[in-house]
Amino acid sequence: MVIRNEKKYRRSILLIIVFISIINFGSILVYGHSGDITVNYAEKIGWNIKEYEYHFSSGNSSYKFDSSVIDRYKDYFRGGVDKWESCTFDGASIASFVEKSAQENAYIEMFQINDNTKGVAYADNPNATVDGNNLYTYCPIRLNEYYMDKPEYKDTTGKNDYVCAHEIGHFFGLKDLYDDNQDKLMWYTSASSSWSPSSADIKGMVVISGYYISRSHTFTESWSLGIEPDCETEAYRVYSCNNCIPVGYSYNVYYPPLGHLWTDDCDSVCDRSGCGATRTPPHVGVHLAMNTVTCASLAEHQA
Amino acid sequence: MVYLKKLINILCVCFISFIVCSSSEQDTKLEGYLEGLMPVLSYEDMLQESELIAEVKILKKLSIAEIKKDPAYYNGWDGNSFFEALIVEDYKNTQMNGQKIVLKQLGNEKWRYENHPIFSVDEQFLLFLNKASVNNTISSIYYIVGFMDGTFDIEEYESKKYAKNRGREFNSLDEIKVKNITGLKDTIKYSNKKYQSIFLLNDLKYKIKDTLKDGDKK
Repeated sequence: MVIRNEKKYRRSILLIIVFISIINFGSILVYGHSGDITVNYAEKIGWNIKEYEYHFSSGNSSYKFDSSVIDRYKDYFRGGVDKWESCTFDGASIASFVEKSAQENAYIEMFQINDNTKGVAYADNPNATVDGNNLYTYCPIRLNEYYMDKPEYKDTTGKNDYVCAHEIGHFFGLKDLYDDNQDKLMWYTSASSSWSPSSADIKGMVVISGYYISRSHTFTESWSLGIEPDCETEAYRVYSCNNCIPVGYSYNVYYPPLGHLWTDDCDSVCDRSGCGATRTPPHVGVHLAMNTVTCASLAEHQA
Repeated sequence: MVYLKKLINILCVCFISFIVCSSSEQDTKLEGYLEGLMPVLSYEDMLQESELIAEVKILKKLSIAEIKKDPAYYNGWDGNSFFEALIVEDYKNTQMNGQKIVLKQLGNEKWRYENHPIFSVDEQFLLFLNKASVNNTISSIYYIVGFMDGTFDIEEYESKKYAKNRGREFNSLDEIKVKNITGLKDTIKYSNKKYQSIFLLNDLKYKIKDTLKDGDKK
């Protein structure tokens, strides 16, 4: 009787240990997923994109207005939409929107708020919905009348349209810019000198949302070669498709282990066997989820 | 036999703790960054809009449940953090020294602005503060005027207190010139190939007094 009970307890302990191991292993898998990483690297080139954060899959989208939005704010938003719809890249239109009624489904829903604790306007990511690839299925954009009704906004022709265009940029997948980019639409404050998408904003948009509106956005998650740390500039030297010639530097202030190729001259199958990798179109920007190679570790390796 | 039972009990407790810990860790994982256009406020704007300009010490983080009844808590939007904070020194001379306030910061462990980390207990900042309002309903909760631009780390060098704009490091001196928030004659600190703009807190105190005095004269 005692022996049987002991066996029962031993089995229970074993089961608990196995169960804990499974749970633990599962959590390692969760945290090891590359989607946990935020890429912030391209600020130096005038645009920065959210490959692993919420973004949209193309330039074709739709919007609607919350039922309480007044006409003036609807016009601001339509003005922002116009700014993107009039953009072209290589002669082709990059964005097209359909306005839906409040009862219909739309990718963007615009709300009007009055809240002094928030910014001028924002893409409300905590209340957005995305699919498994972090592509928006629904993105609320909130316009804050606390600021947008102030004379410097309301009475300045086109300023509130610019605010809306900035938020639509976030919807597409463009990040705010902080460094020397006050002349870009995605500059983080409402003091940008560019009230419409600049060529850099457009380039970022076509990278994140698809090269042209007819193409779908995909990106390569692993490409471990063609990039190396440059210890002098504390950046990463990135090689072009052809002949492994360095074409520029990927400044990666916040996440040194990551790199990014932003060359836009590689719109064909690119044999980089000399560098040890190949790539396929239509990527203009390719995220390089390389292993951690720091200047310190490189120096150690060379020594 | 008794030991086995005890062992199983201990294992069960460990297991439950593990589950609780791992789920709370997952709850607080950063999901992404808040994105929005920040207003541009001059030093004078910030001074006028701020009811309090104070050195503030974070005492504790408040749970959302504690704060939800306040109308300034926007429609259940859970992108904010709330703290109980102590006014260490009020530079606008509104007799708030030593008082406690509730402070609202945009962002939480899941969602925050990229250059605006969530405050931690015992951290001390210089903050430009005003009362929060939603749809013109004024709350007792304070928010940071100018957001990142109204948040300064406090550092001590040679027994003098300096303030440094939080989360902002600049690549060149020109950038600092553009972004001189306070209008004070800033000292430039250079380290790690980055520039930081810092200023003496004492200078700020006098500047506030002078500016307010000028305002009164008008």
